[in-house]
Amino acid sequence: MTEFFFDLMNFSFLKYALAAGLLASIACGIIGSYVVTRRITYIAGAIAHSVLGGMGAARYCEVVLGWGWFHPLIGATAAALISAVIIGLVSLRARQREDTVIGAVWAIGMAAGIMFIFKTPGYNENLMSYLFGNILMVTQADIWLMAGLDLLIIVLVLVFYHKFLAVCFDEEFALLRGVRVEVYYLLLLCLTALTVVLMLSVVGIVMVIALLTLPPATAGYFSKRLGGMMMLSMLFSALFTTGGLAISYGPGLPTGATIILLAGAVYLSVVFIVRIANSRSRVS
Amino acid sequence: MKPVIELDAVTFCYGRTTVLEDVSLQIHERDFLSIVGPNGGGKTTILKLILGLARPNRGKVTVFGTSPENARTRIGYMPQHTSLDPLFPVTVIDVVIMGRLGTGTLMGRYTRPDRQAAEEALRAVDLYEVRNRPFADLSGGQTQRVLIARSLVSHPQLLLLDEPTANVDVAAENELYEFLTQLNKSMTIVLVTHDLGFVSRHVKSVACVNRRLLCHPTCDITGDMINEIYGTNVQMIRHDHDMSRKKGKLHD
Repeated sequence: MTEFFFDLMNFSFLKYALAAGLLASIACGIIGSYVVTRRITYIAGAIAHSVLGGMGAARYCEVVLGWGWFHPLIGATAAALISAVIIGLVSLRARQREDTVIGAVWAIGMAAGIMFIFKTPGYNENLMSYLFGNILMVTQADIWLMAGLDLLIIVLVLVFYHKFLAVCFDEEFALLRGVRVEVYYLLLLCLTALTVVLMLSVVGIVMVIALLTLPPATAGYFSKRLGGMMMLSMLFSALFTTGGLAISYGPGLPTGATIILLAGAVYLSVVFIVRIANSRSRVS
Repeated sequence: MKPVIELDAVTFCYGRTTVLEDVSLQIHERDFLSIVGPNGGGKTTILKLILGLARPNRGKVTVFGTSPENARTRIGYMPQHTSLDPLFPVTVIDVVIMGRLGTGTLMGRYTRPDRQAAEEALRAVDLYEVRNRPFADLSGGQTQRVLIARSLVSHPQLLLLDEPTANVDVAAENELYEFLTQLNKSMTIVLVTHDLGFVSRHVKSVACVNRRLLCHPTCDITGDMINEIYGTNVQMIRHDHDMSRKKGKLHD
């Protein structure tokens, strides 16, 4: 681990990696708290996986059609937003079998992605980094994009904090108070989509839901208000991404997986300790 | 006098199941109506129709002389608290102040008057002391009172309560009814309950709903009728109140 901190001074790729982890933590803490309390983890999972379709399509257009501007992250953003709107409309309008549609978006997105990647000529090392992330490959352009998305999320949540809270806590009551529930719910899903994109380069498609939910779930044990839960989740998330990066760097372990295992270990320990503490206090 | 709420020959179906059939009901200003009936009999559906959360398949619902959607913000509503997530990270005052949503500015910040109104509503239900406690830590009775405070904080002209005495012990139940009687001096109240024990003393009229509406002064309810609506083994209702103000049309 000392090697990590020593090299951090010397290598810009490590600085970018650290910055990417911290920037992802901001979005993760804010939006992850909504995802956990509103219980839409499964929706976030579908949005994350459908992103492969967008990334594959973008890569295909880049290589085969020569659309140089069509960066995979743009494809990912488009796919995430489209999935969010489809799932959002279905869950708002058709109350039944919402989970079927979520599953379909999940699988179709992945299938489309694999098809595009298969049809794209050349060496496809990208597939693995899409799926599992590669925080050490983050570029300066990625950092700016992530910072921009963070800023957008922070501003929107500052403006609509109470409305999002009401929509998550009691949708029906919010509607009766004249809040345009559908608009805010869709906006929240779109922000979830942007957060997913932001976290792609850190942990990849497959593990996004873990980093989106484990820090808020851990923070949930120590906070009695949503705002506090968000701040604490940011801290936990920053701890996990930085810790995972530092632990994995020396032995050359996959960083994304290390981050998730660290987050999982801390979460399960907290669950365990809280349970023991509760049963003790009940006995005494 | 124009009724505050008017249901005119309303039929509501959920899928192929007819939940309410040909229900007509008028509720006047300062009325205190209790809607009773078995679970699944359509009581909550009547509240949802009044709020415009459900739309009738046939018939018409009018509230304050306009559509339920337009009248919504003048109504205070206390839902069954079983529909809320017990793990949600909010404090008591966070929940109550949600009743002020929609009255505020575009940016959706709560103002000082909002906060004062929330504190005042919490004092009215005697929960000011626990305002900063997590909502999840409250007892069943306290939870109900918080939800009532949330429905009152917008100063509604009509109060709808769904099972306000579920999970409440007898002492708290009596206190709650005294409180509602006080409120009734300034607003119309409609509450839904499956427990006939409460209908006593405080409410001014009773509507029995089991798909169809049977609206009665309570003293007309006989054991046979209760058996017909509920099946057997229902606690008998008290017969000592004045139920002369009959509001609905009598069916059957």
